[in-house]
Amino acid sequence: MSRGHAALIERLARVVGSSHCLSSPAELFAYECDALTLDAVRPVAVVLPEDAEQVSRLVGVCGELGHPFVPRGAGTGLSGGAHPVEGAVVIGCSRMRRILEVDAENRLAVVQPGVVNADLSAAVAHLGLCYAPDPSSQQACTIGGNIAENSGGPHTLKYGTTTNHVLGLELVLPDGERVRLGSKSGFAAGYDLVGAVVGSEGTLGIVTEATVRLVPLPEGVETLLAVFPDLQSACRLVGRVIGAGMIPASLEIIDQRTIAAVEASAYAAGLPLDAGAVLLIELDGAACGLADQVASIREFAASEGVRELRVARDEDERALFWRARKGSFGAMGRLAPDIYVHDAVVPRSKLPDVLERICQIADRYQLQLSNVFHAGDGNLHPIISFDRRSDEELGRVVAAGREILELCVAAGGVLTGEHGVGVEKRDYMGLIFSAADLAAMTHLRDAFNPTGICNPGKLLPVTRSCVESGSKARARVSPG
Amino acid sequence: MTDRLSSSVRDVLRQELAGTLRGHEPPLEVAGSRLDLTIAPDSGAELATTLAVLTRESVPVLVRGGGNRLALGNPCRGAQVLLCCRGLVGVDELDAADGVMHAAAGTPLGELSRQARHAGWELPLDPPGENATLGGALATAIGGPRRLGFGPTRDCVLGLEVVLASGERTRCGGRVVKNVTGYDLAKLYVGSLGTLGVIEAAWLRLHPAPRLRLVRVAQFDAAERAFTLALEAARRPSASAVAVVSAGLAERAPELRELHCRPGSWMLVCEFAGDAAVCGADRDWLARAGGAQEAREESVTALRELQTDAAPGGLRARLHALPSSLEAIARHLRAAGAELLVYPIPGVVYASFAPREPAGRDHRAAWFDAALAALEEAKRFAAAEFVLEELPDSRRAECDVFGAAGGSLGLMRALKRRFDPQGLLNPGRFVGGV
Ligand SMILES: Cc1cc2nc3c(=O)[nH]c(=O)nc-3n(C[C@H](O)[C@H](O)[C@H](O)COP(=O)(O)OP(=O)(O)OC[C@H]3O[C@@H](n4cnc5c(N)ncnc54)[C@H](O)[C@@H]3O)c2cc1C
Repeated sequence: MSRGHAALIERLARVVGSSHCLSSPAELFAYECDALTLDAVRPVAVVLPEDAEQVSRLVGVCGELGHPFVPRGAGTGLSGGAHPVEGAVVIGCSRMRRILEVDAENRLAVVQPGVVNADLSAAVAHLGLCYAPDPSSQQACTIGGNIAENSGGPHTLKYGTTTNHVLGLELVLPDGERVRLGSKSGFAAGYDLVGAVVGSEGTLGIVTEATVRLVPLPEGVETLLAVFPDLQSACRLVGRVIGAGMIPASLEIIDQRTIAAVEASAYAAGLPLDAGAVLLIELDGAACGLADQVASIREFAASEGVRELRVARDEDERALFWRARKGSFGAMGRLAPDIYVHDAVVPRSKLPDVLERICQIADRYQLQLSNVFHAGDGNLHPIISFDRRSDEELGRVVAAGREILELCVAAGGVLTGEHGVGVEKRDYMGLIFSAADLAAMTHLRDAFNPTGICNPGKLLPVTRSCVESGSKARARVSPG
Repeated sequence: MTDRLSSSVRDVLRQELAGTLRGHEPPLEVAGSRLDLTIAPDSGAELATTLAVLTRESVPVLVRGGGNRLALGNPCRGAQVLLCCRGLVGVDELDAADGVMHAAAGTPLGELSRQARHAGWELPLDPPGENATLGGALATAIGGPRRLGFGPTRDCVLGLEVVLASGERTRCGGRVVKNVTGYDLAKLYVGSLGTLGVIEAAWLRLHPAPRLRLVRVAQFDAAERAFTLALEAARRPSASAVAVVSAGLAERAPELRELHCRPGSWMLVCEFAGDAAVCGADRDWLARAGGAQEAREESVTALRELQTDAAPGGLRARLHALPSSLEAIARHLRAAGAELLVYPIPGVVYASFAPREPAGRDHRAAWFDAALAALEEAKRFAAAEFVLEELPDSRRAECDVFGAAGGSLGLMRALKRRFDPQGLLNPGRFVGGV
């Protein structure tokens, strides 16, 4: 450890206490990356503050000594948002995990950023309420991380993403100042700074408190599993349901290869192995309105050639259907040493065509590809199984990944629907945004983070030339 | 009050700008500025050229959509040119399968609604103002009665094309319904009152058209009963619009007057929309709980115009507060002489005060100070925030209609400096002089 670092670590430890200031290689190892495990960089130190005051002082120390800092939640991010850079201090929010207030009458909660997503819903369930955004990683990921990534989940179709559920924030700015944005009523005069901070990937400051909306648990839920001979007809049913004006809570598709993997794993749900695709449909809301919707879906499904339509009879069967969906990343991860989970969005109506062409790309690169995705949002997650010990294979994975993104963009889509840009896709930003578009984004970043000390190297291309030059080889191991 | 446009700059503008350009002699007085010229570009490219030239010549501009809400905000300080966006019209894509639409900012909302309905969808925007344009609706981000069902203005914006003060044409977001590619700049532009850039076009997310709409009204003498029921109604699954209106205000809308509101009472207006079975269940619930009578859909649209109701020379404020404090705020402001329109969710109160006695020589009128004091009091006891939407011209100069912006003003000024370094777009209209 250099002398400069020793001084830094001592100053940081003075703020949080030495037991919450980690600096030995063994302690730092776990903080070298998030769930995007390539491009790992060891931070100089990891500090675990307990409140906003400490965060503000830590940020002040970093500024004074000229070290960049990186906010971190649970480290489940899939785009490298919490990756350290050389010389960085990681400021982890895991000790800031108190639920400060639950106001059932006004349906809101005030929480610290390190509260685990699922813990918040569990804490308010007895009031008949829940926190709606439900990323599949919800047992581990934090509200702070969700806010930074504007995370979604299987129920995003009806309930929206994180941005629709955040009313107010306390933010420690990169110069250490604490500011309150938004309010409990959701209104604050002036620019919608809460809206700008949600989804900013930790580059505008550190969220130290959030006021979030709670929603009532639905009165009724119907979960259906439609088995189709092919992926195309499953996609067409999605279009029919949306086109008929229904807004299901979820519309999730699992393709044939994923079914095989799931059925061979601990997540087996009795899905037919010869099915081309299954569509999981969840409807929720007023109980009296669900029967009609189930009937319409039956009718649409029949006309799209459904092989079988199961309606969950009870909570156990519902859980079984969901187990197949939620376990699919994990099941795929068992089939190959590594998997690369893509995240792109296309207009819903383009799904059948785009999926077919994605499969053609994988075939051309001789790669194993499967699809599990949020069909109702058009949010694709093509998963490529591979072995990263082979450089040649890794090269094909990266090249195919770029083609897939280009295809999605050409279809009117975007680079990421929920996992974020981070370091993974920053150099692809030029695929959809012009230099002027990116300059406008830079204006926002610079207004909050003029020195660039807060989470550098994320979200925006690092240099202008990168906008055109594309990305270098990256991959990730199984997130499941 | 402000410098006139120099004749040399005027000549330059005439030479370089292709869009329709009209001189005003004497200058047009709008929203606190005296405007020498109106420029009305009719394409995005023309809008970009216009802004580039105006910036090069350092000419401050007042940006106008439909012209409905120009009274909103602080006076525009020193604008010399009116930039009228009504020429940017048209829907160039309406994807009926996906329920998304791309439209130019000057398109009237009525036109967008018609096209959406024709394709089996609904435009989830209902701000007040007969000829509101899309750009104006997005820049002000003020919802109408159906905001309960529609969600806030920003929720229907998937992507924007915005011309910055520099004349650069930029895009953010996209046409898909889920997107985290880059910063969510659309959130900044929506509600920014045209102070960061000029919206050229938008991708909008449409809602499924409801199969059924049921409107019911009920009257209550006790505020407590009215507000309790209103909040419960607003939380019913099919509630698409719920409001409580004081009798004096209800009288001012013909559609509500015909329902014979008792003086001093509160009128509850509820609309349920969507699936027939769910609407029916909610209607039956309300019948049991409040004994409501049937009303026309126009009772709901009438609320929209009541939002902008103000006696000439009077004061109207929009307060935002938590649902649980609305009844207390309403009683308090009613006692102070205000007529009220309240949306229990998301907690919005429109309070209008009529002038009581003429202002004296010094423009001071006791009623005005008393009304302002009542609003300040509500702010204190209910942690409400308020914006003055209508006030006597004589008072505009002396107060910030948005109140104090608090600790985030520094960030807002920093944003303004970066997006519009010379401060030429709608100068001074927003919070804290931004
Ligand atoms: C198995 C698996 C399934 C997943 N499923 C989903 C899914 O369904 N939907 C989805 O959207 N995502 C999903 N993800 C991605 C990931 O879980 C989310 O992005 C999540 O929100 C990250 O939260 P975190 O606490 O782990 O944050 P981290 O990974 O620690 O950090 C993520 C970003 O947030 C920033 N950050 C963290 N805390 C703060 C703070 N307090 N203030 C400011 N910035 C902060 C970091 O700097 C970083 O940029 C999944 C990941 C895995 C591994």
